[in-house]
Amino acid sequence: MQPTTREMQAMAAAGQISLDDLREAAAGAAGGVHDDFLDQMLGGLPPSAWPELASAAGGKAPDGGAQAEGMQHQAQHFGGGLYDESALLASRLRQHQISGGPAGGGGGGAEAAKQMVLQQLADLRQGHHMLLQGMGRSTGGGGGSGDGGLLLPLSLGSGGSGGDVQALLKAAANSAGGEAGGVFGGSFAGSLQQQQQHFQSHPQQTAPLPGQGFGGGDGGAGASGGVSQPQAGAAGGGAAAPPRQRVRARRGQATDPHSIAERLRRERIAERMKALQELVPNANKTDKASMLDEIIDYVKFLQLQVKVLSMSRLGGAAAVAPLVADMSSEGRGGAAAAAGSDGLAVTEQQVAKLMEEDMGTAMQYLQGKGLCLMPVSLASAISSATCHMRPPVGEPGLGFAAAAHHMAAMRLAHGMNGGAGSGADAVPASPSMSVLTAQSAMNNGAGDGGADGEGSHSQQQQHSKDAASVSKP
Amino acid sequence: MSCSPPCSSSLVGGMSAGSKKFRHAILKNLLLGLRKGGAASSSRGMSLHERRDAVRHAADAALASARGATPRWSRALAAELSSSQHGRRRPTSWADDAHHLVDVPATSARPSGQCKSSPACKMVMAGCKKMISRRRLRARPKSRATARAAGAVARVMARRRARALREMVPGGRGMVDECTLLGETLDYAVSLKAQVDAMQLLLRTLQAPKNPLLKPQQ
Repeated sequence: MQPTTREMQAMAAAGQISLDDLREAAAGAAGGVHDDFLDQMLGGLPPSAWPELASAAGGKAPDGGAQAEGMQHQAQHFGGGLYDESALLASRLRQHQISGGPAGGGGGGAEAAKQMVLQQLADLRQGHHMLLQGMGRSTGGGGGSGDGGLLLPLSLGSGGSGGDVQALLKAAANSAGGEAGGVFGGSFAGSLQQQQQHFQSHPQQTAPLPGQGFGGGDGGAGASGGVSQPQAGAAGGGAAAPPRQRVRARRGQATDPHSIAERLRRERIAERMKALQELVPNANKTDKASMLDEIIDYVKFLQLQVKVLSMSRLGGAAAVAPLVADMSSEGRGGAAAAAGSDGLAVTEQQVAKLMEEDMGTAMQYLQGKGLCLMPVSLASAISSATCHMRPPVGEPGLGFAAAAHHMAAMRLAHGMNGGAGSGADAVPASPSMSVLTAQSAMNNGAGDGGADGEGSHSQQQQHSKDAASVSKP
Repeated sequence: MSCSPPCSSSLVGGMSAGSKKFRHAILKNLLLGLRKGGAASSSRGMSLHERRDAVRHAADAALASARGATPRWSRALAAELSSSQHGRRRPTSWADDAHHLVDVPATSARPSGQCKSSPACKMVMAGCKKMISRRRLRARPKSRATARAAGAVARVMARRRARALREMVPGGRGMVDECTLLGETLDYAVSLKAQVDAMQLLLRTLQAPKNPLLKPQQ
């Protein structure tokens, strides 16, 4: 009995929604009498089986057992194929028209016909709902909210045979309208026609709408992002049918927050994929999936590179670290062999002479000595041995080098990187970097792009500054 | 379900992931880390692998501290480093960096991200997440309609790839949202490139031939 109860609940839900729809459609026109009438009809509307419809001209309330059977039959039948339903529906309705017409004139006939129509529509929706339940169970939005709109089941059922159902609806509307002869019937027919028109707009949608297309319902929350595309299209049309309940949405757009969030999320992902594409060297752009694979490989490659580099740097690190430590401990350290007070003067003279001829040779001479040129302000700032060096030279940083056989290597970027925020705080306790050689950064790293270019630039910029002083340990 | 703002656009002290300042910061931190860590002191007689690990730790610490605490992977990396340091022979100052990074956004970071440092915990969490995601995906019956409408996102970020990305990017385990995962990957890739560049520069510098450029002028 489990499925039965569920289906009956769905039935009730379907009945409820259709009741609301019809109510609203008939709000202006019909009086309270008709509402009661509708209530009566729909409240007692049984989920009846096809064979029962054939037999009974207007059977209102078959017993529960028959209902159960009917449900199961319906379930089986609907499970078979969607496209049979419309034909069957058409045939059934025609039968009922024929049988219902002469069976009872006036109210009775109208009642029967209307009831039949409602039954058919409800059954159809319910049947579709069952199907959709089977299909789209995971969305979790099934259950009561599954029957957001009448359109979708109809469109599902008659993607190919739209004409039949349209004829059916027309016939139903006509019959209902003709026999009732009342405003209510007209309004009902009107709503039917309205739905039919909306339905007409749908047959182009070849994509079988999954059950998530709950005319604006929230069921699609669990659905993946891509579902919202067809859902949006359906919701656009479906939302128009009960106009007073939901905001009128543009075709192809959905107003429910979940699909909007989905769309935003997809856009964000797309833009990030694009950024990643530009980053990774080999930009194929063929397929997002392959692009992701490239990205994964690239990150793996970079990590491997770090690993290999860390293995190979050991010797260099060995050279750097103790020298740096020496610098700090000795203060004016010096592995500088040619250190001497007069040596400094001589050097300066040499440098001055060289600078007249060629900057490059001057620089090379300095490098050979393990010295460098820097503005006086910088030298004073450095020698003051403060941790927070913010020289006015806002260079992004020299490259650096360690001449292992000469002097300690210490990066000027410590001081240069004034803008690096907290980075400067990590400057070691030995800021007495009186010696810098930027040789390798300038010369070797030619292909290294920015850093080296900067190195040379800043070097030259330093030279061009007002004061130049040669500092040495 | 909204993604966090893209990390790569955030500026930390005027420094984003792709700038040159960032690279220099990495260099500086690397040198400091190498010095402090004593990774190069041959007196200790470390084996090759130990040295490599030490240097790599210093490099990762440099990267994380240079990048700051803004991106999620940075915090996760710092946490990993600090936790691995506890089990080592002597705690170094990398742990300080790591703590500095980890403590700052401690409130903002998800609590689950903190307890992921231990490998056992990590494996368990990864397994749980895999199972959960598998169950979630399997529970959705792939009928024709649903399968076709599964969407570009699902197709692209197939489970395999998302899992691979999560394993590679530090802190990826805690990222259920694929949008943030992609953003983190982007930022991490840029930072890794900067780290590699910095290390290559250092290496090239240290190994550079010293003298062929010098011409005796006098």
